[in-house]
Amino acid sequence: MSTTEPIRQPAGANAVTTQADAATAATAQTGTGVKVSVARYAPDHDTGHRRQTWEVRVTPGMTVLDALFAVKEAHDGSLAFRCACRMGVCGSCGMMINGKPRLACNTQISALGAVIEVGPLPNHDVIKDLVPELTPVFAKHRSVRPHVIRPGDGEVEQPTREFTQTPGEMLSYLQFSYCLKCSLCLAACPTEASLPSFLGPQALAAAYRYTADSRDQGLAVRAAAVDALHGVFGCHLAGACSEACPKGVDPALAIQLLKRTLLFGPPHRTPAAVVPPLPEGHRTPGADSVPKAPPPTV
Amino acid sequence: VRESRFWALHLLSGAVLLGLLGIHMTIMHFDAILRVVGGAHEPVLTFASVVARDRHAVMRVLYVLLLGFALYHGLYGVRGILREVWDGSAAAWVINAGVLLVGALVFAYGVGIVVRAGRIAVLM
Repeated sequence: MSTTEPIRQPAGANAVTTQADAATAATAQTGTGVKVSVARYAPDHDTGHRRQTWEVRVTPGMTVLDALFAVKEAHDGSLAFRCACRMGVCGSCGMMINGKPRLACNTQISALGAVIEVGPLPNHDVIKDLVPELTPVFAKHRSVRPHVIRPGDGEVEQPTREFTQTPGEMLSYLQFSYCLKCSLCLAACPTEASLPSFLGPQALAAAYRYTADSRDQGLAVRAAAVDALHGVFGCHLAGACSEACPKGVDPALAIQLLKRTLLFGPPHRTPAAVVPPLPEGHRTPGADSVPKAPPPTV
Repeated sequence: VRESRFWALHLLSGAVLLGLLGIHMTIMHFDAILRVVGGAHEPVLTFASVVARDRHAVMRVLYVLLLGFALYHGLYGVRGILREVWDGSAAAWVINAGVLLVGALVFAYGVGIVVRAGRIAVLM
């Protein structure tokens, strides 16, 4: 069963969902029905978003992504959404769920009300229904050079040895390396809403992740992108990005640390040294006990 | 110049303004207290008090510093707001140039007044 009602929004505008009154709505129980209300947009015939509602039977452990699959399989096969891993690792299924940016695969139906309002991520153009355009997000990500930079690319392009790094040095950037690039932080960011050229919390956290890496020496190169008003200095310190992150990354902290780094230099004063080459004929202790790989079959 | 330098100066100007505004408030608005503790002898807005302050080189320097830091601090904020309202490189150029021009003109005007007031006060 489905009902459709138009949402008055100008064509091309970002979707804005109204928050369900979760406080008054009953929590969805297994075996009962839950209303899934989706903001839909088809670029070939819609001029704005319209909301369509279906009733879905709740099963144990059901997530919002499962509910969307149930709608797609039983009610409307044209419903479009992105997903891949279904376990909060790939970051594909970011969407607005009851007014908050969340991963659909990581959000249990039982934690929501009897009405679940789903919409595409704000601050993104919409390709169709719940599918946001992520090309600008990845362009911003690439613009901060999210990789280890060393003077002269020889060792990076053709590595011959390892770079040393202590566990403590790794901990200084570890949490920022958990980023999924799901874009929930950009959907939550108020600066991103008003200043589209703002690099956004995802790219800036990535910039700090590599700047804080003791193997990296690319601060000067990266500063060209981030040391600007549309870089770290555009941040309004709302902290919404850190609240939205499904992996517990704190991009707001990364932005503040990046500001400090731009003023006073990277936290690691001495870059990681390259491990000296092993002597000729050296065998790692225990290496003989490692069985040889089988011959290739293809 | 990198944005981090402007931002650092913005923070620095804020900190300096706290001190300069403290001095200004103490002299201009807490004069009744100053008179009680013997720091001032007559109301600050009398002609004699104004001339006495203008004659004092340290006061003139403090006024110029207050003007300069307050202008920088305020206009940096205005620039940030305008740059967020009008995005784009051409708009950025216009806003930067406009803010710089306004700041320079107001600063020059203010310094001119302080210098002229000092000259008049010294001659009196």
